Amino acid sequence: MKSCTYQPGDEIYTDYIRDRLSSAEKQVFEGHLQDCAECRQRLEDERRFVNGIKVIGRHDMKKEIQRQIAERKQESTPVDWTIAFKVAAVMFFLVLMPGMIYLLNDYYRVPVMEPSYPFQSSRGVMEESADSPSVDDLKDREVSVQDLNEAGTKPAVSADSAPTREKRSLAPKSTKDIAGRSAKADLSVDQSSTELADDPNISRTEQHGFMEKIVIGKENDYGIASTGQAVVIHEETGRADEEKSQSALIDGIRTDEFDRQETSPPMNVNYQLKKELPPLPEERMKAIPMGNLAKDQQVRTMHFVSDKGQLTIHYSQQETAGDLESTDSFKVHILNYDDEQITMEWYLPFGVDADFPEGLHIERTNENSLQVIFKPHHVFIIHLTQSRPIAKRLK
Amino acid sequence: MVSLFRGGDQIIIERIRANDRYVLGDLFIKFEKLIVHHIQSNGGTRDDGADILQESIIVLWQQVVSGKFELTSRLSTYLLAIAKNKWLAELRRRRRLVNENIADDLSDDKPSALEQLVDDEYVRRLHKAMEHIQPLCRQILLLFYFEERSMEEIAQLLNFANTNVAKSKKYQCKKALQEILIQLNPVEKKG
Repeated sequence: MKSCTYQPGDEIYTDYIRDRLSSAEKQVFEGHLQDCAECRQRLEDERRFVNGIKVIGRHDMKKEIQRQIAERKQESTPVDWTIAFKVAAVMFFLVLMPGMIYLLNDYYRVPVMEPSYPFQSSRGVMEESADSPSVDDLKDREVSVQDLNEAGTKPAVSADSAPTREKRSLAPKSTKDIAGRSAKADLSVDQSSTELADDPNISRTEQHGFMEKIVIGKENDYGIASTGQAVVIHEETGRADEEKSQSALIDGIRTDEFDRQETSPPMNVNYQLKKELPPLPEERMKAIPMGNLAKDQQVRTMHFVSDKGQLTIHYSQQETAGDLESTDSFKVHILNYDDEQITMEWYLPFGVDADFPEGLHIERTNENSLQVIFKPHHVFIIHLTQSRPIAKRLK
Repeated sequence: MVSLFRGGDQIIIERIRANDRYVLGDLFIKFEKLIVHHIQSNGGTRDDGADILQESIIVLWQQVVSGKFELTSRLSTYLLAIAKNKWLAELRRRRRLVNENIADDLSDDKPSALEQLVDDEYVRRLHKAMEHIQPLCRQILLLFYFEERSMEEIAQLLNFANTNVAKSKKYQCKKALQEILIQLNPVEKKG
């Protein structure tokens, strides 16, 4: 039997697993492994041991994070309330708060608004009479701008968002309701919106008692929530705008103070590079640099075709939007040997856990360069497609 | 061009390198809103988000201490990318569980159910054995095998006189652990 060069406990097993051997050392070691069953077993044992320790390490670290979070939450909880503080708090809620609410209500009552709604009394209390429509009636039909103008004001809202505090108190809207309305506003243009379409002053702010209506963008792009602020919904923009509009409302921030990013739809290809590579040498793995990805490129598609399988990589570089960052992403379509279409997606920069299929690995070699590593027989042709830069950012 | 050094991010990286464990909680609090919001917007629950964030922080930690990490983008971008990848992998895993007939990737070298069971059992015993060794040994083994720190770093972090002491200690600790493993399961071969 051949004597073994590598003894149990040698660092080479760990170094090999960690991929820290030089290529020469690795070649020698792998050559030895071919003939040494005992060493292969040792390597397998070491790999299992290292993987086991890693699982335990991750487990410990998760526990550590959870413990720290629990501790900090406990620290941040106020625990030392004295009786005096409690009494002061009770007094505040019982005496001061109702007083403040009363004063504020009185302050915000805008006389010009009150005669504008036939169903309101001068004291601002809802009264149902034979001549005035009920809330249910209002839900069934929309009050046109013209109608309301005739009544002495110009609220330009639909009935179910009529900006009276009485109506709000009767039918408070949840966030979900608002989202629902927003979606509706996207799909259909109500009568009030149509009226506004003729108004040359598109961007403006109007005060109606409690309600502040903020109009931004095109006339049919908005919906009005009953919490007293306008929600801007842009028909052609994406989800980020809609989310922002909703979150703006939730946070009580005026929607016109938000950055709005207008993205253009993907454009037809205006640049194309097709490059056929010569057959690759018979090496174990090959790396092909995919060139630089300039900042102004939005989409780059790389198309790989092999003799059997097919792989398309769709690279998308996105801008940062608000506090939610959009990262560059890869969408990969793979047509495998069984003609199955598989789509996978990863985001840049790749973490260690980017779950690549067998035979393929993508790395970012520096900030603007990508490298696709693959087994030679999988890929022969590279097809690059690039589309126009991302649209400008609007304030 | 993305700045190579961003004040706050760089401090966090330095703290990780210095084995400041308190940074784990800081990272969670700092990025909780960002990551959890992303996971919730993509079909996950709040718990999923918290879990993915913890996993992402661990990956970041491992990358930094093993010397594989280079700060070329904002830390939030990096963490979000890891979280997105992890969440996609998790969604794929769940999809596989729902319908195992659909081939979800090209890899055919995944461990079989039996192999997975054996591995899980091994990890369970290893976990138990780790509870029986000295805390210092546990720390050394985790620093070396889990965090992939160098012997120089381990010697420095644990105040050993030099690298050789750390190496010798690590060898003894591994041996002790394997002996406990054998006691827990006599069939286990000495590795």
